[in-house]
This record gives sequence, structure tokens and C-alpha cells, in this order.
Amino acid sequence: MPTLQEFKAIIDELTGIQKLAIVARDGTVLLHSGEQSRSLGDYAAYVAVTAEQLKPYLGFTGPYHLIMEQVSGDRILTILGEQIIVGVDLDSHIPPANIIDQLAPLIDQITI
Amino acid sequence: MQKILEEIKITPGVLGAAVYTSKHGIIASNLPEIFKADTQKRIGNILHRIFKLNETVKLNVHSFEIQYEEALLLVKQLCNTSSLILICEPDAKVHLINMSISMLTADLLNAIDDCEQAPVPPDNAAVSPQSTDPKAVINGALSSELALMKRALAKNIGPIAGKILEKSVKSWIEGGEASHARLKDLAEIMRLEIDNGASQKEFLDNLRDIV
Repeated sequence: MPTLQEFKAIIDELTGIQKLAIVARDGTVLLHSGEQSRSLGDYAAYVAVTAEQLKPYLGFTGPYHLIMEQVSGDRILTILGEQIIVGVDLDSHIPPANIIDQLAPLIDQITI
Repeated sequence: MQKILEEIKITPGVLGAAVYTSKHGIIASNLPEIFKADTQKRIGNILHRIFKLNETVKLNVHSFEIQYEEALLLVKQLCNTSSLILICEPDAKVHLINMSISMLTADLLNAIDDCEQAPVPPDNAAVSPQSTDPKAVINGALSSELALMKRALAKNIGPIAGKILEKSVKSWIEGGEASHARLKDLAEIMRLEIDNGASQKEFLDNLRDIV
């Protein structure tokens, strides 16, 4: 079970990640790296809450992740774990699926 | 508009689609019947809010997807006041669906009477590193307009229109920024790829609304 710092070290090894923010389920930014990454944490928390808010209307379970695509081609990936929400700002050439496959199993293991 | 949504629904993996506008709620839908009208409106309202957040957080998100256990939600901003919402199978091929949507977005925009201006790209979009790559430009802020131009070209020269568009965009961006104001120049480059004079005129007539 990785700690937040160990998890950050794993992410630092990945290429194409411009910013990272880790947020608790209550919206508290626990850790962030990269320029203006605190606002990334707020944004990730907001979209995660929005996805949760839709559940009763949709009747679906989850959500697991959100991928927001910007005009520039860069993407903001938000992955929801049991206790934390992780937001990463990805370069346009990085397939989000690769990052999700690597990070999602770890995110669910992190407890705060 | 309903016909366009039916076309979208034919795409493998798409379970249904709806168009939401801030003023009128859901104006067309072929989402599964399990989603009642009021529910669809509420879903549209919540999803469209994410685009409204762009200005506050200084982002330019123009589309997003949410992965649930049972389905994948795809949402594309059509203009400042409207969104296209798709509910897809959880393992749907997003790339394929995006291709289908991009071909139909311009038609959808034309069908929305009160659509306010399309999302304005950031000032730096025209000078971003990607703007030198024709494919990035074709899939970027002007994707709707370029998809329409490709379709107009395809009517005259057939399936090679995609390749010709790419080649034309390459020449176009060598001469200046990829902006809405310069679409007329691109249309001129593309027009010269059509042999027949009458077809050239028809091509330009089809683009009257955007150039």
C-alpha cells in the first residue's frame, strides 16, 4: 500500500504529466506538483463531485474516471479512488488509457 | 435534428444521444426510454455546467467523458449554450465515435436556431505548437468548420477529400494562423483541387455559411 509520497514518486517517473494534484474526498488538496496545480486539485474535485451527483439520475455505479479534453489537445484526467481523487494534466500525445491502467489500481489502495 | 441523432446512434457502441440547450433544455433525444424527459433535462443541466466553468478556471475544455461501470458518457460542447450528450457502452471505441460526431457537429449547429457563438478558442490556440501540425488543426478548435468543408469537398472529389483537406490545411497554416477569419483562404486552396468549374462554384456555395 503506497503512501502519498510514494505514489507521487511513481507518477514523477511517468512521462507527459505536466501537473498533479491529489485531493481528499472532502475537497482538501493533499498534495500537488507543477505550476498552478492547486487549482487543478479544485477542478478535479469539482468534476468528480459532478460525476457522483449524476449517479441517481443515471442509475449507474462508479464513476471511475473522467477525461476532459481541451482545445489545445491537452487532457485533464481525474481518477476517483476510495478515499482520494487524483487529477493529472496530460500532454496531448499521451494516451489517457495508459495512465489510467497504471495508476487506477494504486489509487484504490491509498488510505489517508 | 432527430435524424442527425439517429445517424449518431448507428455508430457502434452508441446507445443514444441528446442535445441540451441552456434555454430550452433537451431539444432532441434518442436516449434509452429509461431516462425520462425531466431526468434528461437535469442530466444535461449538470453536464453543461462543466463547460460554464471554463472561464472561471481558465481552461478550454470542449469535450469530456465520464466512465461508469454500466456506461460511458461522452459530452461535446456545441456552442456556448448547448451540448451534445452521448450514452455509450462502457467499452465503446471513443475514437470512432468522435470521428462520427465530428462529421455531424456542423449539421447539428445549423439545426440549433438560438445557438450563441461557437466556443471561442484561446488567443494562444493559433500559436500553440500544435498549430503547425495539419492533423492537430483539423481536430482542434475549428474541427466543426473543417469537417463541414471536408464534406463539401467530398461531394465533388469523393473519398480522397480527407487527404486533400490535410494537404490544404498544411499549405494554409504555412501562410498564417489557423483562425476562423482565414477560412476563406483555406476554401480557396481547396477549391483549386476541384477540376470542374461548376463543381468549384457548388463547393463554395456549400461553404457560404462559414466563410
